[in-house]
Amino acid sequence: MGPMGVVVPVQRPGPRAPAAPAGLALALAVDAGIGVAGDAARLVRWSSRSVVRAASPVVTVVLMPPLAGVGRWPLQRLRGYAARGRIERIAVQNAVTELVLALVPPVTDAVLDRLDLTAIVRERVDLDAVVTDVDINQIAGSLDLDAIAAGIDVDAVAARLDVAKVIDGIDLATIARQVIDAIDLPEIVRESSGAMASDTVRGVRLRTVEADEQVSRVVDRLLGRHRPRPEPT
Amino acid sequence: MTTADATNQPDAVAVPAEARSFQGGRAGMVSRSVAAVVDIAVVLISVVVIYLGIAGALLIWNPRNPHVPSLPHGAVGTAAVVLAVGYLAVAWTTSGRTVGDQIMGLRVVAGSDRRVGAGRAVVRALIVTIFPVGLLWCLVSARQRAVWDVLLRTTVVYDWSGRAVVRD
Repeated sequence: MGPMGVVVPVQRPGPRAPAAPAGLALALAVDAGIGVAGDAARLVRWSSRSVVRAASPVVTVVLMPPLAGVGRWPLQRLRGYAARGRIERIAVQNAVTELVLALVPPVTDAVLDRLDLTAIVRERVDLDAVVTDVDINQIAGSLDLDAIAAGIDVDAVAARLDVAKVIDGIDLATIARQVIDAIDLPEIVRESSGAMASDTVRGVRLRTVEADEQVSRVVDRLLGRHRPRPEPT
Repeated sequence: MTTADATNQPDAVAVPAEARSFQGGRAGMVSRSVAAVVDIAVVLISVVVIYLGIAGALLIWNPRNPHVPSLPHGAVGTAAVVLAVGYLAVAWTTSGRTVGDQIMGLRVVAGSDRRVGAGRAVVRALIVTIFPVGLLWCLVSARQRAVWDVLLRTTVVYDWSGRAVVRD
């Protein structure tokens, strides 16, 4: 373990350090303590390694006494304890894992209940940037609209339409009456059927009737007679 | 519909207002001449159609010898006269109108009667066909009568609707 990186860069002593004497002393004390602890740890590691190295033959003899049979070695008993301990440890691990797994959902729910995620997203997420990054054209291009359309059962949709009800909702009689009123059918029939009589033939007839009268008038004048014919006006 | 509507409606539709004043009056020279020209055209066209029909029938009858059939001398004239008399007589007897009369809005009536009898119609048709110049008499006639009208006591009146009441 080396000098604590967390403390040193912040409290590095220097000409610009304006710290108060009390604070400076506290920092120095902490650093010194950590340094001592580090040295002590190194000492312990070194000494324990030396002890282990020195005790190794003794431990070997104790665990595997040369005169005893292999089955009676304390090492065997130690292994048995270790195996049992390992089983216990795995059992405890599993129990803890189960406990944690069992705790996660309710804890998560409780946390989420306390949080307004929508508000958080609105506040913290730049939705415009996210939407801008989405390539809608690509998504639309990858959509197989034909397949979607083929999947729609138009007959079923049409079967669900109640056409009779729709028609019932339309007031056909009123619409028809309005259309007929707007068209003025009698006038059209009169114009189309009597078009010839009313235009060409009527004009010819009226003109010849006028000519008849003029001819009669001229003849009457030539013959010097007054017209006895009653001419209704 | 009221009674007035029932009596006025048909004439009101068929006869325009400006023509109602002379309905039932005696028709003059010009109207009758135009009607006569139309009837002459009808008869001539009928003669041509009948001749073409005969030629077509002969062609079907003898297709190996296609030719324009030559008619006996005077046959066309005789056929035209017969056709004209038949056409005029039938027209005057049935409706009182020939095609020319129909177009010009005229009708032939006998005296105060509305319909010309078959015998009188045939005689009138013969006189009209043989002596068409007799129409000119209606110029000098104070009552617009042609020669055949004087002889047979017939009258030609303006009648656009076919229901006009004849005025004397």
